[in-house]
Amino acid sequence: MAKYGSDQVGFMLLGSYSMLGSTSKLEDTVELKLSQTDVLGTSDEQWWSSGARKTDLTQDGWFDDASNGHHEAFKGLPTTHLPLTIAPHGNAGGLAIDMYPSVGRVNYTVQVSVGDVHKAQSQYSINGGKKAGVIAFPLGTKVAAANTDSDDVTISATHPAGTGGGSTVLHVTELTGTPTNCTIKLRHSTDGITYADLTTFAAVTPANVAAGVASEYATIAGQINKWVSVAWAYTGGSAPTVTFTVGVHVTPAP
Amino acid sequence: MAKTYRATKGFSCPADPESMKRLQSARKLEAGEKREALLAQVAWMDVEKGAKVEPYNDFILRSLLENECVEEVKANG
Repeated sequence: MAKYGSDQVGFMLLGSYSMLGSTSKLEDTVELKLSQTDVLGTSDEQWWSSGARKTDLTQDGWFDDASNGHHEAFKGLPTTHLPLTIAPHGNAGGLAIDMYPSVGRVNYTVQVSVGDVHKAQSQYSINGGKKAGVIAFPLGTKVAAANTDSDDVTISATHPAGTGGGSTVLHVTELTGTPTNCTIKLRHSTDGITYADLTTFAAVTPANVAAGVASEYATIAGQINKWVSVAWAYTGGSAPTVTFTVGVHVTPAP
Repeated sequence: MAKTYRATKGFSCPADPESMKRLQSARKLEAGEKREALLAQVAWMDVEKGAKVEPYNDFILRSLLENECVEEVKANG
C-alpha cells in the first residue's frame, strides 16, 4: 500500500476551471445511506441499506480571482452542473483519479481577516456519485491534430479492462489560436496496433473554455479494451493549441 | 480477387507496413531513447467511419477485424 502526499496532487478541474492553485484542503466524504429497521419489542438496533451512497465534497483554500480559477467558478453560484475530476496521485497516464459526473456549486464563503490572507471555502453537491478512474491523457498541451497511439495508456493488467461499460470525462482548460473548435476522441485497442473510436466528445469552442464549461462526462457501453489513447483535431483557424485531460472509468465486474 | 472492406467506426492504425514493423519492434523494448526513436518514426493514418479500407497486409487486417473496425463489403451489398 503506497502513501501519497499533497505535493503529488496533479490537478483538480471543475469544467474548464482549475482549482489546484487555490486549494489547501479537500474533504471528500462518502457515506452509505442507512434506514433504521429495529422494531418495538427488540432491544438491539438494526440497519438496512439499499447500497445507495451519498458523497459530500468541500474545499478550503485561498481567495483567487485568476482567470478560470476558484473565484470565477463560484462567484454568483452558477446553476450549471459540471464534471469534476481530481488527480490525487499525480498527472500521468494510468494514475488513479476521482471522477464526479455532475456537480453543483452550492456554497461559497470568502473570509477576510485582519493580518491574514483572504480565504475561500466552497461546497459541491454531487450527482451520480464518484467514479474511480484512471488518466487516459494527462493534463497537457498539444498543438497540431494528432493522437497518442504511440504513447497509449494501459488501463488494466488483463484484457479486456471490462465488459460492463464505464464512463469517460474530458476537461479542456485552454484552446488558443483561432480554431473554430476542437474535437477530442477517446480510443481503445485490443492489441496496441489499431485504435478504434470509443467516445467522440462534443466539439469544444474557445467560447466554451472562456465560459468555464468546456468539459463532458459520457457513459460507455459494452467492452472497454486494455489500451486507450486519445486523438484531437481542429476545425478552421490557424495556430491552434489545446490543453486538456481525459479520464476513463471501467465498471467493475459484479 | 482482393476483398474490400468498409470502416464500421473511426479508427487509427499504422499507415504502412514499415510503420507497423517499427511499432511492433518498439512495443518489445523497455522505455528509453531507442523505443522513443522508433515510435517517432511510426506514421499513423486516421480513418473515418464508412470509408473504404484496403488492408496492406494480413497482420493489419487481423488487427482491424479483432478491433471490430472493418467489415467486408459483399459484392452484392
